[in-house]
Amino acid sequence: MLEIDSLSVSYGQVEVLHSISLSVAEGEFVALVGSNNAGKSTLLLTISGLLNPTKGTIRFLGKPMNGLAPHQRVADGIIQVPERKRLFPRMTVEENLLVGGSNARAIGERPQMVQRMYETFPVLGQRRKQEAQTLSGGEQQMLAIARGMMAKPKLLILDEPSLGLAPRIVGDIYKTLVALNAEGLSVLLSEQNARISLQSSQRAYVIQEGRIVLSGNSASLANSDEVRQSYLGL
Amino acid sequence: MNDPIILLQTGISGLLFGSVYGLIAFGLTLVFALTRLLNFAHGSFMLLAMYGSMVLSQRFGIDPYLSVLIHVPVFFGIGYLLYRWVFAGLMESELIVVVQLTLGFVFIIQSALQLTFSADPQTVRTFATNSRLAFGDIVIRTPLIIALVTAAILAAALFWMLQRTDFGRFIRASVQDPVAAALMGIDVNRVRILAFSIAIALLGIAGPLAIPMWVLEPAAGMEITLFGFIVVVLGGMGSFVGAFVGGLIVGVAEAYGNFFLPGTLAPVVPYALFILMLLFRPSGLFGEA
Amino acid sequence: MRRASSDLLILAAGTIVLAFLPAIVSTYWLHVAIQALLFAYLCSAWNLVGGFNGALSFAHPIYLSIGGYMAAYLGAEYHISPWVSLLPAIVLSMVVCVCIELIVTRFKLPVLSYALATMALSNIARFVVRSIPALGGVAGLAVPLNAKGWWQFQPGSKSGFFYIILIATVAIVLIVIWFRDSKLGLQARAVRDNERAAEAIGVKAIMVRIKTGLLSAALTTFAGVFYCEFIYIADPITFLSPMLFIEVILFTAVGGMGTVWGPVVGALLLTPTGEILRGSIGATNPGVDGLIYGIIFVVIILLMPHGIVSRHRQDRSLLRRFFSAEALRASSSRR
Repeated sequence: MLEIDSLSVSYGQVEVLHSISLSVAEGEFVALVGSNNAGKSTLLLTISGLLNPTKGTIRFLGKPMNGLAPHQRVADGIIQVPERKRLFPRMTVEENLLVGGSNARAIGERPQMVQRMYETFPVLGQRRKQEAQTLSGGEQQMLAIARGMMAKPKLLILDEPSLGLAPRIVGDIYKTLVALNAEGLSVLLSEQNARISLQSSQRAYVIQEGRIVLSGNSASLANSDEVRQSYLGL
Repeated sequence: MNDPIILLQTGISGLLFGSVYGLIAFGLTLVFALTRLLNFAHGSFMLLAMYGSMVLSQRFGIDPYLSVLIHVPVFFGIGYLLYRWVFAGLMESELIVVVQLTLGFVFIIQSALQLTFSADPQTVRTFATNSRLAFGDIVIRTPLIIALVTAAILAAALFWMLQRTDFGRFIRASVQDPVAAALMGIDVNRVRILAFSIAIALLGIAGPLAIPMWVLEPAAGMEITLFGFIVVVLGGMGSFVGAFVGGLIVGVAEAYGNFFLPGTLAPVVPYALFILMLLFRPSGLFGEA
Repeated sequence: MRRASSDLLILAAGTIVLAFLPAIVSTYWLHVAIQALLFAYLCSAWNLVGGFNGALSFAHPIYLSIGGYMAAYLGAEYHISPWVSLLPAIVLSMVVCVCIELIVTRFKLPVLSYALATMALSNIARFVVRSIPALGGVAGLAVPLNAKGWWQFQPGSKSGFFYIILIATVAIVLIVIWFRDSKLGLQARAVRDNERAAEAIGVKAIMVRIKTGLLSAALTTFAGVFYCEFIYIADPITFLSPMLFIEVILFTAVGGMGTVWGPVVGALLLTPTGEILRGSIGATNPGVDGLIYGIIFVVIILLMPHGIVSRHRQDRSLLRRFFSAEALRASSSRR
């Protein structure tokens, strides 16, 4: 579904992603593991169109994405839950969801989707009239994911969803993601925390200093010595 | 001299002037919050609207209040083209370049007006210019009431748009986090260009409203812009409510200033208020620090 | 420094050439030349704060008027020579400058608020000054009629004024060259480009701003004294109206902010241009000259956004970026 081929991205004169190739098949749950500054966010921002690559191509459902503006990629079905959530702080929970569901594909079912989000995340329903910035960390992350879901993604991208959250909450979030994936949603997420992301995903890539250094089945990666040492702290 | 009725009347007049300031500031807030662009020529466009109304009145006998109907689409169009051709390309530029360019526009507009209409101050009459309405003991000039009512209706409409429509939510989302907005599928650039056009169109309305209350002269553009920015900062940058409330406060302060102070010193009040606000509450009344 | 020596050469050459001007040109053009040099002086003084330190200050009309009014008032009341009045004027300007900086820097005000605040202060000053009868009210204070001679800052001929402003401009260019290559100048630029980073390496931004501001204010004060004596009056509109001061900022920007020669080039080019326009087309069609003038400005800024004498190597013309879908797309994803 998503095919990235020899992608290179630069900030000014400095190349930060070097010839990355990566793919996500329909219905897959793929993890991108790497430490701080490895290039995870840069890659995800480029997929969503906020950064332009200097070389390489991105294809989604066979269609080349190069040059497409971010809102056009959303129209095609690529939805991202960005790093640090980036909710609209002074808009209410409900307003955040409404905005999430305002693209052309999603707006027809928006009222029903809002209800479904309140059922899936009851705490959001309770706080529907509260401003997003008043929610706790975990609640905000849930809202961010719900907002992303409102957009009817074909591919849901998440940038470090576990950042700054307590382990129990992280577990809840991943449980939700796995359930969504089981229903057919394709997921690509990036994490520093390798353990839970490798547990939940089917396939994974390891990125280091802007390059893919390892890739393969998540379970076998979790067992590899390299990954265990560098990313699982063992 | 300090007859309570007169004091009340002064205050009310101030409110009515202030409602026009609020409209100007609302447009400025819209533009600044979305684009962070400092358009020094903002007031000059309002001046253009006022002169436009004067022409329509003198040549075609169209009452300035009616000219609003013509101004709204025209100025919307001007704003649209101006953003598309000039300001969109300035988004990546340093602030100082934007300032220079817009100052240059101020110059051009001022000169063009001076050329066409002479530098002499002018006044324009409307059907309401000399009439007054009485509410019990309080007498208010009719044009001020028209201004307030129109501004109030507009304010209500604008707030309704911001709070209840998708476009309004897009604007607020783009103000609060343009990156997230883009990721949610909002065409942030289209939001910006439409908002800018609305802001200029608002000037097309504010101009005719202000005509009966102000004297027209080509050099006034910069002062209007300065006033507008002062209101914006006073109310709190990025706050739409603040823009209107700030406008009302400045209007009232100015009115009382004119009442109590000698004519040459009176204009000082809004500026002094502004400096005081900066000293004690720099984020403005409703702004986020 | 290699740069300084070539600058000094240019300065020397220019001075020698200009020194002969009074002998060659008519009184009218000498008048224009005086104004051009005055603008070169004012722009250079403002550039210290605006170009080198990145602060868009509209407070300079206040320093200008302190100079002008002090000279006119002390001259009229106590027959004190304007040269002597210069001292208390400079002291007052510096005090005002520190106050303004403290007010304004207390809040780490972004550029907008700084510009607005200084503009508001200039306007406040204008309203206050014109309300004080002792300062001549709305009409201003005239230079006393019996003031004559160099000691009273009245050389009695245009060439006298010309040489005063020529020497002053030479002096200020030397000062700017010194400033640019000095530690303070370096710090000023560091604060301009990235205040947080500068603070992190130990540069105290507020001290740098104050020092630069003091220098700029003092220099501008002299221009106020000069101008008052030159036009024989100090009045609120000429000295304190922000609209008139805009030309100083625009000339500096067009010439090139943050450079030694930018303000000079901008002023020397644009002042005569404006004068020629005013004299030729403006006489018959008042307003057209301003229009063309403004259009020239806008065109220059579009073609050379960083000024004629630019400190940026690549000068990307803004025109290329207009009319392009690229610009529309790029701006939809701002950081």
